[in-house]
Amino acid sequence: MAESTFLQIRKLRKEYPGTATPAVADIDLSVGEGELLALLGPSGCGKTTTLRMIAGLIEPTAGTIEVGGQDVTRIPVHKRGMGMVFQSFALFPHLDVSANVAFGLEMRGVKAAERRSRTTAVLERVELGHLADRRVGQLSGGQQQRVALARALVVDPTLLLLDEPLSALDAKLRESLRVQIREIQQASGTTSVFVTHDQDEALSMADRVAVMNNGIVAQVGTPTEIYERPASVFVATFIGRANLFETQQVSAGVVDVAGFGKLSTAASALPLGSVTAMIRPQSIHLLEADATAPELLSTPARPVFDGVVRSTSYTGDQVAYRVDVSGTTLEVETTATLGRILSQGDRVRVTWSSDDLRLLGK
Amino acid sequence: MSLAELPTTTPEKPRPRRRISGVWWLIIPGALILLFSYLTPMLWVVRMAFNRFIGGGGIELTFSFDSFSEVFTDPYYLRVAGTTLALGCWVALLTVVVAYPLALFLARTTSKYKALLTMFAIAPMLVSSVARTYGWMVVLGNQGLINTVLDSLGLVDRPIQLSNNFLGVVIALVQIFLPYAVLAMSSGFGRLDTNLEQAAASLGANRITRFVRITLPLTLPGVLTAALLVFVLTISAYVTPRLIGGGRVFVLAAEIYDQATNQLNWPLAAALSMVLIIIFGAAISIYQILQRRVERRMSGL
Repeated sequence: MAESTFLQIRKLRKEYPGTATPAVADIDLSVGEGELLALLGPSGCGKTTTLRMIAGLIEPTAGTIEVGGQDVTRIPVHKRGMGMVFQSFALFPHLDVSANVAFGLEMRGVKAAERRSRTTAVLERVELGHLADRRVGQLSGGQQQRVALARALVVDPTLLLLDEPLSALDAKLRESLRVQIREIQQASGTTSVFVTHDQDEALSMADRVAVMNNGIVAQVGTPTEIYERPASVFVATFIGRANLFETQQVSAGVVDVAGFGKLSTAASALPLGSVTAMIRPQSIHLLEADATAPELLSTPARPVFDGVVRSTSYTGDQVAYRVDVSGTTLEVETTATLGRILSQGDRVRVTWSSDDLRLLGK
Repeated sequence: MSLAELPTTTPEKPRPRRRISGVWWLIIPGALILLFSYLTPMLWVVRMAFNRFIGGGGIELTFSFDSFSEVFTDPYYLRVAGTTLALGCWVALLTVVVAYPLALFLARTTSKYKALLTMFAIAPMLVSSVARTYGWMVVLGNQGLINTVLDSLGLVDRPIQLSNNFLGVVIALVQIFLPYAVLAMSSGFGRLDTNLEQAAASLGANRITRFVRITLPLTLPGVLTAALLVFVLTISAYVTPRLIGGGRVFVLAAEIYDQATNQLNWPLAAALSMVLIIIFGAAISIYQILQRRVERRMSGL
């Protein structure tokens, strides 16, 4: 997706007076042309501060921001030519929908006729053409956010910045807007940075995800890289759910886990000694306790253990089990379409592929 | 928690009985006070305006327009009404202009001293306006602080006339009503979302455009409220125009007092009061028309 780097952030830092730790601590990020990067992290991790520094709304303590090869670090916000979408929508309540959208064009001195045609076009694109004359206070939350998106996009921004754009909306609307925002972003090819604390949003919308924590970037990668190969315990637990084992790497790719014995893991560059082993609930498979199929032979690549179901949580399409295996509780998730639903006390066998057991640094 | 610990039944709530009558009982004391302390005297004043003054404190109980015709034909009273109106407009305008940045700053600041700063801004309200008026006389007088300083610096030959005139009254009233205007405005400004200005900035609006296109229109309701408040307080002000005006600035409130207590011409005092009330009414009507227009723009109805 990323052909060439369009946004380059180097050693970006923000300190607030009177605070011990910087809000953003020397982060490096690059976003390719036309790419959508999600900044994902818990509240207070510095993701919004980073976005606002890119926008020019917050002045960085140190570091540089380059857009299209030009250093914009010292350029004031109103000269950066970026489009921004706010969590609170930030629509001008005293202007109607088309005046809101046309505001940026007006600031650029675009002639009235062109202003009108571009405003109409962008409102059609967000499917709000019929509401152009409405006051923004008369619109629903989802409509307001689409006006905000149209307002940011109509000026053909160098960068589209979205600050938690869906957080103020209800769950159903969020999902449909996710798809819509992504489609519009891809169609316009606008390089975008998207701040969210919602991992589903980040994984489903972004080309790449930067997971932030305590002012630093914990990991950057495609959604699958982040989910399947988390670089740290923080990333593994922040994104999705994970079974974690505090353990020792006794030889390369082999850990010794209490209750399970020696287990093979995916290849890792971590040194021997204390590590955390992680396996996703979806990577653990359940088998009938009395099944006698050949795959039930335990091998290093596919270990099998006996267990007892401790609890079952059925959500329609998924079933989440907690399974006791020799004193350790494993979280196991399966799709609910196949087989029967196990209940508390049922004996089962669990198995996984050793490639799915991954070693994590701190 | 096990299921056994959960209460099996919820205790029955007592049914609310005749809730509305309770509210009415609460309204009655206030309504009675208003009736006896406001409406009755008002009606009495209206009635008094139609009586006839027969000199030496005598009042003939009748129904005549003598006092009104005196008010509306004597150029003196028309001038007094004009001065009062002009004073109200000037003081309202200048107070709002001075208070606006202050109120905006207080509403916006994230300083930890915000509460303290707000207190400083409204602290002058704690000092009686009489005391503050005397304070201004000391500052504005011909031998006052300003003229003494200007004179000692050799900047003026003769003292600048800052008191005993319209200008002095305006200066003093602006300072006296400033806290009211700040309070009236900043209460509304707090709701102004700073994201709106940031959104405007990201769309290419510079500082001045942001203020003119976003901040000012959105703060207009608070500005109108403050202007009305200061206008009403100004046209009913008595002490400051009297003392700083030095007998040269004639306003309705002072004239009413004179007619009622010195001339004992109660019908004329009542008629002048009615003029003041009409000005009040006009100001409130204009305020409501403007406010409704602004609100309609905001809500989009």
